[in-house]
Amino acid sequence: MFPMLKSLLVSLAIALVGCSSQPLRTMEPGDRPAEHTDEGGLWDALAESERALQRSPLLVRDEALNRYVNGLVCRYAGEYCKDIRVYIVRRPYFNASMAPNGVMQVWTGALLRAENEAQLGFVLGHEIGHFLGQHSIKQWRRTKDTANALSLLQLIAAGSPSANAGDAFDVALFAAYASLFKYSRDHERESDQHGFERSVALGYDANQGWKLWQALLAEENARDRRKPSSVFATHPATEERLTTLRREAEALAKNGDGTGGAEFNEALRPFLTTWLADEVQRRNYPQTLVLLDRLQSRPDVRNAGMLAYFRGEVFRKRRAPGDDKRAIDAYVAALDLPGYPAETLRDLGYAFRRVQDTESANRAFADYLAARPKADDRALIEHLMQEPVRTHED
Amino acid sequence: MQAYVSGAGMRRWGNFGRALFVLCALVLSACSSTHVRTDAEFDVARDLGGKSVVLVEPSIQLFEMQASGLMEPRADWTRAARDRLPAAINVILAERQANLKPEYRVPAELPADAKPRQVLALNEAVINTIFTHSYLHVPLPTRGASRRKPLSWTLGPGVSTIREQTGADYMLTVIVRDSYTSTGRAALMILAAALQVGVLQGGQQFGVATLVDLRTGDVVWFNVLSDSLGDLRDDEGAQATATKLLKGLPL
Repeated sequence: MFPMLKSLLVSLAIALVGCSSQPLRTMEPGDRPAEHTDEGGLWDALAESERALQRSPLLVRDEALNRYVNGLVCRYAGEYCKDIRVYIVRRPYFNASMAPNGVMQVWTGALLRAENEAQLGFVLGHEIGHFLGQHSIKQWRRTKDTANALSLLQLIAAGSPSANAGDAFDVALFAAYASLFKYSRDHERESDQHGFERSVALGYDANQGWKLWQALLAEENARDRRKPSSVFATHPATEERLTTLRREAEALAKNGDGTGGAEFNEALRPFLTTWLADEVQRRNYPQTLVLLDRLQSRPDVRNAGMLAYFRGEVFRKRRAPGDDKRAIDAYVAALDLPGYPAETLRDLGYAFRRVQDTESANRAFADYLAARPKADDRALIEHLMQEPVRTHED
Repeated sequence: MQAYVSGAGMRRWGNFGRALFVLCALVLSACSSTHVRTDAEFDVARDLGGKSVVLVEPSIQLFEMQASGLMEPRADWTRAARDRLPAAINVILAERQANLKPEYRVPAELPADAKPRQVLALNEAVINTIFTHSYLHVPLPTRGASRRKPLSWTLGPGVSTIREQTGADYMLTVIVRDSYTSTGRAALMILAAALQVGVLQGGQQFGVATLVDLRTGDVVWFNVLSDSLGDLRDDEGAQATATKLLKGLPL
């Protein structure tokens, strides 16, 4: 390589790495980044996507639910409450996210999985930790610098006459990616810490955070490997985070025992049927069964019939060997429990047809129509009751 | 950073080859194109004498292309361009004697399911669909493989809500994403050319403009602009971009 080129490369490398030392904002409540900065640019672009989010059909607009979740966010965010705008998004996966401009997304899959206010609060506190720690902008700058440095390396490798230069580049690439993920894990740890500390300060039981992670880990371990994963795909090292949180909770001299009041259940209850139906639609049945077990084992469970119904739905839709029978058992069990939906009777009818039991099917269908005289699918059900069972029922 | 041209064959061309390569690299990355489609009936009639037009919620974003090719949004440039480009469009429309209505934005206090908001969301979806099926290589089974067919898309008569709000006969939509080569990127581009390892893409201007008939909802005119020279950071550049963006606009 020419000496001139070499010195050009070196100065370019210095110029590229030089931009990484930008200071973070002080972040007083109500602060905005200056317009000409990289962060100002991100805020402007995010404002556009926030407008799209505001008119998304996936947005849950129920006033009472939004008021409740917002109230909890405000308790955790304190004086930064006004800087954060919460959007509840109808997606059946456990997730919540925080954008640097204060847009917080909470997915319904996370609301469904939190057992009480303390667990939901821990998740919200974790996200607020990302916000206050300015993790997005840190990650953006880090990504930018890494990508710039890699581009230069790639050019040098491609231009080098040495046959091994390409291999050397691959090694550098992997190291760079690994360091990006590591960076992100540090942010997760820091945010866990923030959620934990705020929970303790607000008098919640400090054990609820790790209990939620533990529950999610159990779900993750039951995962159908062919199906897309949950939040853990991007948030590795969960066991380590769990252990850290548990150790800290146990080391506390004084632990609050609050898991929150009845408002949590009151705000979420109207949506459980919809969210559980969405959950079953994910078709990751082993995970859904683990979730249903956990919801069922809650001390204050009031909708055992509904949970049993959705267990039946899992089996009816999965149709693994023996599932037809399991579905019938689950629906029948639901009928003895409080809170089962009328659809239990109808779907029990469908399940009986699959095992060629016309008589029981028709009895269940008749009960369904009696319970729901104005059912939308009355004509269909009445027709089915006249129709002989086929060898392979759908 | 993909698609490197192999540099091995170039070496034996000597200094002349090297100079030629650098020149080609710079020329190749500088080109401009527009692709207009119009509705068949509209193409025949094309009589818009005395009709009024409203520009709705122009979506404009400017980025700085980092050395790696990563796009960083620039709020200061974007804000200036959001004033400049609509102003330049207005100048052109005024020159063509179109009756211009003031730019329309859905009032912030309207709920998400308000009709004007929904019509604009539908408009966005239709723009994406037209772009995918009439410009990218994704033919629709119902429309056949020809990408050059006239437009036959409509938002339906529900668009009248925008006419009621604005009093306009036609609604003009403009979407522009524009990126500019940073110093680091420029250095890397020159370096890539000097090392003869390939041609790196610099900043690009990309835009879509459509005209919708606010009585029928038909999309009557659609233009896609792709340009590596356009610049929305000054008035002159904005005027040039507006001219290309409105190319073939039947007014």
